[in-house]
Amino acid sequence: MAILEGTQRTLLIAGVAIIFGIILGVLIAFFKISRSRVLNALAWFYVWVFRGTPMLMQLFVFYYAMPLFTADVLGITLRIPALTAAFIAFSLNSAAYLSEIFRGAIQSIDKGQMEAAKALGMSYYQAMFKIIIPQSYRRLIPPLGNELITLVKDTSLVASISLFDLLRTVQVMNNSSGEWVYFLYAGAIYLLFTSIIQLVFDRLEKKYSVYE
Amino acid sequence: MIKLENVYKSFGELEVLKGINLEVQEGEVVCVIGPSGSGKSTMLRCMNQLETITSGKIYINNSLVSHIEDGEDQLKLHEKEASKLRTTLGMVFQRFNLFPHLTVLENLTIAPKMVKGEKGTGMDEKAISLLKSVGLLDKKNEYPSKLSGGQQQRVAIARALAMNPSIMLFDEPTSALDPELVGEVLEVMKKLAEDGMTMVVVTHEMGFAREVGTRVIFMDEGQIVEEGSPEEIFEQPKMDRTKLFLNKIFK
Repeated sequence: MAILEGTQRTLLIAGVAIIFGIILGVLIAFFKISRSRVLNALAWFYVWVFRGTPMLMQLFVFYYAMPLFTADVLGITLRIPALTAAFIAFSLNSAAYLSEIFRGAIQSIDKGQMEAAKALGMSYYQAMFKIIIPQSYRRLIPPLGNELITLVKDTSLVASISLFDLLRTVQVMNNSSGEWVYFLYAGAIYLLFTSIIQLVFDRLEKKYSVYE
Repeated sequence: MIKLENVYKSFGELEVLKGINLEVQEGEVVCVIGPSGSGKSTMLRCMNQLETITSGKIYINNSLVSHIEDGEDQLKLHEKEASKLRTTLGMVFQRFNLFPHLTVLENLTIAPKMVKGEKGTGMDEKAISLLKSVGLLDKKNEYPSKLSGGQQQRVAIARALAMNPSIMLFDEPTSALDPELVGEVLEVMKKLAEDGMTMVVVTHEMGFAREVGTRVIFMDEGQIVEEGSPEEIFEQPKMDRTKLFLNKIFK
């Protein structure tokens, strides 16, 4: 089943991107709220680049441009497989968006919370990890769900680096058979996954709202 | 216990404290009154290093806490030292600032647990007896959002007391409350004063200052204009600015 394979690839890329995107996104968010100017600047630059250029271009850079670039500059041709290029590009790209979500959620917590924690003798990090961040979960759940849904759909861009994801697979099936119904299948599968995400995040939101 | 020497504090161009000298002795209940914007809250926040002073000196229990003196240089207090210092001072905020994601009991135990490494039944018993003393034992498993403002502030007082502070600072503790809820909070504070707690209270509650205060300080435009016993300040104020302020209040 080609459609099944395509679906797996789509989910794999989205899954890898969200996991590494979250890890890297948290790190960048901490750089952003850090008191170090250097870390602030690094984080700013990162988001500026990855949010300010097209996702498609980032895919091209890692797949097509990198071997040429390394050949020119380092004298060795560093070629990475298309799937790896997709993992890297989507992870780095979603990290940029996710870092903004994390930073926003943390900074939306009332300043009085940090002051109260400090007044009780807690250190900045104790206050951050026990008081501020736990309160931010509830606020980052809705935008996180949004980002995940966008990510699942955006994976269709990998067709441009010759990867057979769900959409590319049905497009080829349509070409060779002349049947339009394959697009209906693809649409239904995308909807199935985005609906699951929505359902899960609605549940999470309820769960973390108990104290409000 | 607290001593401020010629303390100045500016926020950018704005000078908020202009040479504050103040000493608070053990067992005193010092009430700080004055118009809004006079620097009362800032002075309180400087005491526990939530604000860094621009110049001057602050001593708590005879040790210099506003900065570290290294020869001619004045170094900023290290975060760890600031945290340690803050545990000797309890602070109650105008807007309660309870931790909304924790239950009432957890609000009381989190700081002793994390800062002092307390644990087990001893800590819980202390928290429970504190909740009893503010009359909120039945709310111990509720989240703060389920409590009225007055109840939240009483929990906030108990939370500060859970760290066994030797001095309690109150930053307009009743200003954010509906009028009918002010009494229950003042009652708790009064009991605390009767138990001998050293307190500095920034307040607009003149009745409380008169009845519970051992000393009243009138601040205006970043300076201490006048201080004395409640009788002296409320019955025979000497300075015109004090008279003007009190006239407005009691009109």
